[in-house]
Amino acid sequence: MRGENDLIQKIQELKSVKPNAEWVSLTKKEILRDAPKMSFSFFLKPALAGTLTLCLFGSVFVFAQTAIPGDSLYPFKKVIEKTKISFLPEEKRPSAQLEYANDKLEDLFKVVEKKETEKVSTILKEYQLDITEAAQVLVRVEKPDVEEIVDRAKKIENNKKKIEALGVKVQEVDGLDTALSKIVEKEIEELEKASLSDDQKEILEKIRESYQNKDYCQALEKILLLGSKE
Amino acid sequence: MPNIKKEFSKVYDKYIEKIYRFVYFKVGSVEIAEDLSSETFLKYWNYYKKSIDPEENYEEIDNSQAFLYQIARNLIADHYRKEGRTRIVSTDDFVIPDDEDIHAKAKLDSDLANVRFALNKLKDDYQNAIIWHYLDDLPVKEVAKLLNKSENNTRVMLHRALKELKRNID
Repeated sequence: MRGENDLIQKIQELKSVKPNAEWVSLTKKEILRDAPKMSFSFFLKPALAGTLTLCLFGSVFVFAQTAIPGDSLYPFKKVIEKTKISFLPEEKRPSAQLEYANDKLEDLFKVVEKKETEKVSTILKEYQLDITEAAQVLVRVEKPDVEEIVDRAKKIENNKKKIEALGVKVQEVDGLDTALSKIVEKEIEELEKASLSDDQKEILEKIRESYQNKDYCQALEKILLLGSKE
Repeated sequence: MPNIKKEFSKVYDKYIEKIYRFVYFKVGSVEIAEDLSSETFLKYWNYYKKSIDPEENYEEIDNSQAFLYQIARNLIADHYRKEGRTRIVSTDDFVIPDDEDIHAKAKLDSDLANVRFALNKLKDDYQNAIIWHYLDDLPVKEVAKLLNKSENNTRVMLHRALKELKRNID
């Protein structure tokens, strides 16, 4: 960074950070829900208005389920995903977020197969956003569901391999690895304090090896294996 | 009686981006920034309704922007107080290989990520001063009011904050 003006210019470029437009609009509607009645109620009977609204939301809900990043209904799908996650218990949220990331990879695989290359970068970006969100949730959750996380992380690895075999490099963000490494570290610390049989000590050694090789998924799998031997 | 929904909408549309960005730079997560920003406006709305009701004895909001920032600051402080959370600083910027000028794009993204990261390392008052003055374009007078300091002190603080930010980046 050269001088003060250069720095100020860079700070001002951070204005590009903006909230999601759908979220902005839905939040306002949600806050104003208890406000005085809206004007359309004057010319539509309340029961009819309710039925129409339900039908409309129903149709959008159904069609949004199959939307992929870049589609006009995708923002609705995103809102539905977020709402579903907010109803889950905390320990289930990281794996649900990873499931969404995996869905993006499945979408990506389909568009790459169909050679719809214009959609690739949008889907990749959404995938990376999901992974970043999952990593951030993972750091905050006290006791994440390790079994589900391993399952989703493996699915993601498999799908990445499938996509890369078609010639598209899935550029990774590093937040997830950091979050997984912290879970492994915590588990290793707890196992080191526990009294273990010889078999279990051997597995713990393998867990440490996987951790040192940065293969956190494998380390977590062995932690689960060790848990099943208790 | 004024159309309260319309009045609120105006305030919401004018400040939602600023409040969201302010919260986002403090918490580093889209999900938490959305939660805290919506809670900020919900609290504003609930207060606003009472402030115009003559039966409720609530003071009128004379500066919506300052009021919103104050609610957001309290919510952020509560967020970090709960369970002794620490700040999550993310340097992730999403580099998508979608154009030929990938190196230039990656450089630009990484510069911005560095500024974000360095900003997050500043003490709270410095962060606020920089965000409000340089990012949200608030005049020094307004920033001084928000920080509860004199204009002169605020100018000095802005100067020091920039210097420290630069040091963090270099």
